[in-house]
Amino acid sequence: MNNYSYYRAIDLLFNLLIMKKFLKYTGFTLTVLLVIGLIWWFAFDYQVYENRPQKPLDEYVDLETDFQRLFQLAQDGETIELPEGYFKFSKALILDGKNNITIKGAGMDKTVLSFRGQTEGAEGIRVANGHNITLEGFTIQDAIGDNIKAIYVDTLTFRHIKTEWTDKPNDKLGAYGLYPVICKNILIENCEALRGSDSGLYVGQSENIVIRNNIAHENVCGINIENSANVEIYNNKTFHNTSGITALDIPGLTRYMDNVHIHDNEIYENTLYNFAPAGNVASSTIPGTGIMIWAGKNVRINDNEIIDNPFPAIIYSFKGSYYATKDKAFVPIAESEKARMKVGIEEETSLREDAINAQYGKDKNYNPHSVGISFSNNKWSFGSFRKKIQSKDGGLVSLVTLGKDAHIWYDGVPNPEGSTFCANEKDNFLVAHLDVLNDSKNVVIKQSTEQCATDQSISSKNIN
Amino acid sequence: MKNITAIYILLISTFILIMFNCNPTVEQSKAGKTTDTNAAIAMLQKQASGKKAMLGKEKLSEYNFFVGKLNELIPNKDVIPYDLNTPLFSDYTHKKRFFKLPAGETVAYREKEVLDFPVGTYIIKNFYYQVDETQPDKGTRIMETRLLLRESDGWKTLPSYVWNDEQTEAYLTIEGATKEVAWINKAGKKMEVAYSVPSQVLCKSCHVNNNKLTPIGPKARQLNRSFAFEDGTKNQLVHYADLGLLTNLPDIDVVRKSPVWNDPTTGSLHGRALAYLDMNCGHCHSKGGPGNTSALHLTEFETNEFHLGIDKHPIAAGKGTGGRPYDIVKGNADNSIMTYRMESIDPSEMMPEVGRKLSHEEGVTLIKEWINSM
Repeated sequence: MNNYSYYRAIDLLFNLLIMKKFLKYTGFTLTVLLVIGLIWWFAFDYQVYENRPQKPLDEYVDLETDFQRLFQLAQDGETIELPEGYFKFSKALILDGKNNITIKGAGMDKTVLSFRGQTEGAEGIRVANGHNITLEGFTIQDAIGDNIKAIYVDTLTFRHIKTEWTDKPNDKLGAYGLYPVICKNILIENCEALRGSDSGLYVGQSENIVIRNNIAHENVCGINIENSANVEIYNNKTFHNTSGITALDIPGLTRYMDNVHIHDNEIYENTLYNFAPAGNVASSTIPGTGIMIWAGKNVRINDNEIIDNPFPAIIYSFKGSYYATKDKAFVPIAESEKARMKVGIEEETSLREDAINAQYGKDKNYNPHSVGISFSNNKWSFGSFRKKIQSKDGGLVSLVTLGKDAHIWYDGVPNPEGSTFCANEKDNFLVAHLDVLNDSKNVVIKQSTEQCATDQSISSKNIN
Repeated sequence: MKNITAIYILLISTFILIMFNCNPTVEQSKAGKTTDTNAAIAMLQKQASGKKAMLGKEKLSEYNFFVGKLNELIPNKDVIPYDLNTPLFSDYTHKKRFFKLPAGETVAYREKEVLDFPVGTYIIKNFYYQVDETQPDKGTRIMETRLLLRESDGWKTLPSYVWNDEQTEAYLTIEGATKEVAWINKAGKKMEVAYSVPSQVLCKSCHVNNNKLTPIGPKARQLNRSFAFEDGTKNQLVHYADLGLLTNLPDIDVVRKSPVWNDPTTGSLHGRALAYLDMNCGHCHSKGGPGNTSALHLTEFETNEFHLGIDKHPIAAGKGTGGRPYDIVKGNADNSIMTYRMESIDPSEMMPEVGRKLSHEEGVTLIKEWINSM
């Protein structure tokens, strides 16, 4: 029994209340039986995550001072070899201002660095201001913030690294497994990322990035690309996350997204409950998402297996994401706005609008729409109805979409540039226009016959 | 009515069912086998101890910065004291700051940036507690002395010199240290902290901008204040110029002056809040600083509301949001991430990320007042 079971209980009760009308007309007994049956069915299929195997801390070797010294005094060009064994740390290990350094462990699960109970520093390993840095062959666990952060590094490789938090998924876990930000020329390969409360593998505000042959599971976002350009993501497996692969473009940062290629990945069963701390973008991710594009710029998605994700692909504009997930992301906005303006609910809508516009209005170079998104030759499936119910997280999208299937869900916020995305997929390809600006009163799902879906083409052929 | 009863029954049955839901889908991964790693560990230790620290003199006294008893910190005549209008909070330590120029060299005035110190300059910063702030004569406990050295290719942080318990000497320490310390504050309250001396590399976490190390404090606007020098109280910048150490100083009346964060006579609430944020956050949260990733620019010169954090979503705050929506929610400090992170002492949530174990209550009060006044 954990917190999330309670959440689910409340969630289900909410469903029952909706069924009040139903009760009235079909008879009491039948409904009770039906509901009990349904609950049984859902509840017993619900994945319960326990702590991963944890060794007592006193079985870890304390060589902290030696490690600190090795990192701190590393000479340019040096390879630091980390021995096999379990090591514990109370402070961040920092590699700052070094060039041509390799840090090499004895292998994943052989050299294990644990930061459980960390008291200083906001990440386990921090690499900063360097050139040509390689980290490979070790496991890093339980840093208090991010497991490995890299900032202002040119030419950075992560290889055979396992990053994990060993407690069961919850919002007290660290945010990012691998977290390069404002870097160039990044390679992440053959890594495994588990239980990041934001993202397992993340790259932000960077360029020239290859992410391949990795496994990301039990994170909120498996692989997450933010404001990055020239990104190739292939041969990865992302599963049992809240969302498999996400690509975001956020206003006001140091650079924008461009040219992202996502191909030949296996993206499946991403229905984990969202355990990101509130307030973060990740916390508004809808469980059940295969791929999410958020104000994406030129993203090519082809030859992936996008299997058993109730929402195989979601495409948002900046504004649309707020409306679509308002139960998660809007509440804080509405609350804070009300607090400060002391207004009633009726004025809230325009305040929301203002609040959202203010988020990107000051960044004149930012395009809040998704543009140049293309899908081709992917293998798709939706997952069971059951999975979909389980992935329901109170968000608008989930509520209005119960019992409906589509390959691509998009917010339907008018895009002045016309086409939001193009799909060149097989027959029976379904595209859902979510009509989020109108409280999703007119959700339209249509079979996409056009090469490119625009707002006009969708609404003209309402088959719903 | 009947429907309501039905719903209640359903609620109860739901709970019962959920309570019994203990599906044991436990992930089992191979528990790592313990192997004999002693040889490898010995190797690592040898590698680590072989790292010769050609980083500075072994003892602080060897630099001859001070005359007389070392812990009185009486500067040699070429070691010049300075103070700042609004200092960086470091767990309530007091600081005695000095700079030492190479013989015959001068500092050039700069309007916004840290003054242009010549190659060979030392900046010397001593961190200490007063044993009892209500009775200054009870003495001090010096924790550490940090040195910054200006070399031809830029500034360099030396490892910190950690003072011994006898307060007779301070020794170069590469990896940092943690020292328990207790004192009585101005209000007569007993305080204690596990004071953390940063490792050399940790210094860079703050002292870096555009990949260059830089001092944080000695900017003209921070130095523009009076100081009780041996030969009388005088404006610091004017004094340095009179000594012939500072060149190109404009008329002192046109030199920008940062407010003193806790002295309302020196600036508006807004001015003091920005001065506080500039000194405590701006070294990272500025263009070129490590905190640039979040688009938060907390400097005295920032005028863009978004970059000051107003209605700005967090970018990678993780649990540091405290569940709050924006860095600053106008008029509502208790719903603003900024104050949450200033009050937190959890290393994964708190801001600044390093350099403090305690929350700066008075600083938080100032920022709350500022946000609530918006």
